Amino acid sequence: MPRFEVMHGNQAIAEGAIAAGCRFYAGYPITPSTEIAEILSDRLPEVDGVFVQMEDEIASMAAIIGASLGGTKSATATSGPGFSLMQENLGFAIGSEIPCVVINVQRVGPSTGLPTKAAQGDVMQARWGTHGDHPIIALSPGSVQDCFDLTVKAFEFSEKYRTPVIVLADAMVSALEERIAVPCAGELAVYERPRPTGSPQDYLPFAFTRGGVAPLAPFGEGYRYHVTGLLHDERGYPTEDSALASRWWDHMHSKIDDNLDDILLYEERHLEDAEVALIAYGGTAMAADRAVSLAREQGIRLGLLKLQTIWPFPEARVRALARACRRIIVPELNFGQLRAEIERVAAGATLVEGINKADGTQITPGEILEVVRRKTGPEA
Amino acid sequence: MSGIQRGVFAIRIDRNYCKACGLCTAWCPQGVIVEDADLYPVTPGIANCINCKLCERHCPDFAIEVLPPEHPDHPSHASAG
Amino acid sequence: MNLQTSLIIRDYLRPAMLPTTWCPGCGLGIIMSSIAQAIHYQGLRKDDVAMISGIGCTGRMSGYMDFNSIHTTHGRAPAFATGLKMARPDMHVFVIMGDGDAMSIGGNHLLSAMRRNIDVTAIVVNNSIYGLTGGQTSPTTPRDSKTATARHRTFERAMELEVLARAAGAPFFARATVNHTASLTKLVERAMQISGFALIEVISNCHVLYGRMNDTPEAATMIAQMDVQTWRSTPALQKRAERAVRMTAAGAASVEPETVDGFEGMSSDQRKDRGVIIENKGSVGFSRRYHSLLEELRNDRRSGGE
Repeated sequence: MPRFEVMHGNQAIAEGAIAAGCRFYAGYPITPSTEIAEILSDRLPEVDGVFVQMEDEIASMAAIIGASLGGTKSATATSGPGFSLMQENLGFAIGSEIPCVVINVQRVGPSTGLPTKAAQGDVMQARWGTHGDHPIIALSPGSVQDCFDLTVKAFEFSEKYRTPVIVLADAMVSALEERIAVPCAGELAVYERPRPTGSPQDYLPFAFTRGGVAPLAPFGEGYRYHVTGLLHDERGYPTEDSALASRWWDHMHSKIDDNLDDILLYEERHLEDAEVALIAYGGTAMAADRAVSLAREQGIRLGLLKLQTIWPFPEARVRALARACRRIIVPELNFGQLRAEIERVAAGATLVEGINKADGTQITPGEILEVVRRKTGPEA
Repeated sequence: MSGIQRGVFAIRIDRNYCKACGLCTAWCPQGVIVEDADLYPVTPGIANCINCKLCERHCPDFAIEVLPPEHPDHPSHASAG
Repeated sequence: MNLQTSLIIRDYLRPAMLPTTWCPGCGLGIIMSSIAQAIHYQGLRKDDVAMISGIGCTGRMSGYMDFNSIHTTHGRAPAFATGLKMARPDMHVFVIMGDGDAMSIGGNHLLSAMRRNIDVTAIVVNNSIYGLTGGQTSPTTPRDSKTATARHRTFERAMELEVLARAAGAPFFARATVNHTASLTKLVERAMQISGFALIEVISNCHVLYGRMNDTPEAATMIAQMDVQTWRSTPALQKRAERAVRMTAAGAASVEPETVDGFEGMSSDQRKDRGVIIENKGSVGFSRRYHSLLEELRNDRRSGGE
């Protein structure tokens, strides 16, 4: 039986990390994510883990990659300005396929912006923030329970697909207190990093497997290998061979693209008969969920697709939804970052509209309902 | 080892690694190593080698090695095998 | 005591990666040889050693050596090393940086790693120039030098690693050159004894870029000059080392301007000291401290849990 506890989103993220087996955290204080660091500085030593407060977010990202190569599940947490600094080494972790989890509790940007106010302006930064083409996984918690569950999932995906996973939280869920179910010891299936079993001579730490990854040996256990941010061969040695580069890209994309069934997480509500569908994620999904309840009470056939995985983007599901309903409304605390992606996938099959702002206030259920009513009423 | 021995050491130069930088020639205190026409080191004065290893220690490319007589690759063992 | 070159290649390098990409006569190979020998004489198992480098010519070193190696991003090697050391406290972690790597883009990481006293052996190869990108001014380019980005000569002061080490409290600092190879190996070995951040500055040569632009285009000449540009550390030097760092902060020792000779924060003698300059044998590194704390907590849990 899980136990039920009241906690805020940042705490749920920290506890989720511990439950998932995270034993190394490096970070730099930044609002509104700081509680994650504070809690883990306390909690990690209790479970034989390590917390290091680094000199900046560049170093935090570097340190978690180093610790991950040591065989330890590792994470850092930050907010917009720090997430910008992390992009450099985030790219390193992507290219050298080092598992790690990066939590970004979004606030209003650009730059220092509105430090204590929630926003969802880093959606595209999570996708394309570091230079170069690259696959990425980003999960967006839409409740305190999600904060816990998706952090656990983030560790699973990062280990399974040897990639950084971004938990794209926001100041709405991170500061919210809710009663959540926390699995007791042994109840949670924790994904452990597979280890190589063959001989070190034959070990290919960066095998260009299609749709999968080679097991990553921890440093210090006999499999000595080289890790570089340069494009490399299967042993990890730098190469400029374009045939190898092309095989590498195939591996990098297919390890995500071939596993969408596992990676794409979303929840649906009343979509079976919906005329209008909301697509929402993060804290905004809570308002959208309430708007659906209110609409149904008034006989409006409104449904919700709540995205938990936003990258890779759940194209097939959104495409099907676009064909099935008359209108899609996308509330987000930005000026249409994910809406553009939905429009691209919908390709004209339905009308896609946004409810957008980034002024430090939140989108309320009433605001959503108002837009829905306007669009579905007799005058629409 | 007491006293300086000469005439017993051999020098092996690996042309696959050597970049003809001239450091071994510059550091050899006994004039053992000189540059050939392509600037690669050769050892016409090998009889004067005193095994100081200044060439070996200053070689940035792991291309030169002084072989003491007991070393299995020393030419004196070539016919013994 | 000298390790045969063929044994270094066989036991400590990755022959598939050789020859190196470094220019003919570059001191980096000499340094790589010394590090391999130091590890050999210290009797470490290769599995227990990590080699973490940054970017630049120096950054390539980790790939040539047969250890657990990471060729990281520019300047960030100390931060990667911090994570690895904390996850693998029994591993001996080396950090290899260039001068621009360590003191310019990675300055914050270097200072913080020294202040934190993370247990690594750090080697900063100082060749006074950005080599890989083609000879631009680096933080250690001597004043009045020509570089690819200072055709009319530099007028910034050169950064002094020794002063940084002192300011940030590094428990070990030594200076070596690629000319004095036996001493270089010894200094690396001595640094390896330290618990905490042990730093060695190795003066190296970029005759191809710095040298060519500044009248010393030959590797041999440039390396030979190190014998006069540096001098050997003496007991008197040790005393000097204990003097307060010259800084402008309130309470710092004041310095007569005429003794400074245009090099604030540096010795007025332009010859640099060679040898061990700072050595605090009582230092306890961050990792050792943290892991003994974890050990205590484990014991508490064990006794409290019964």
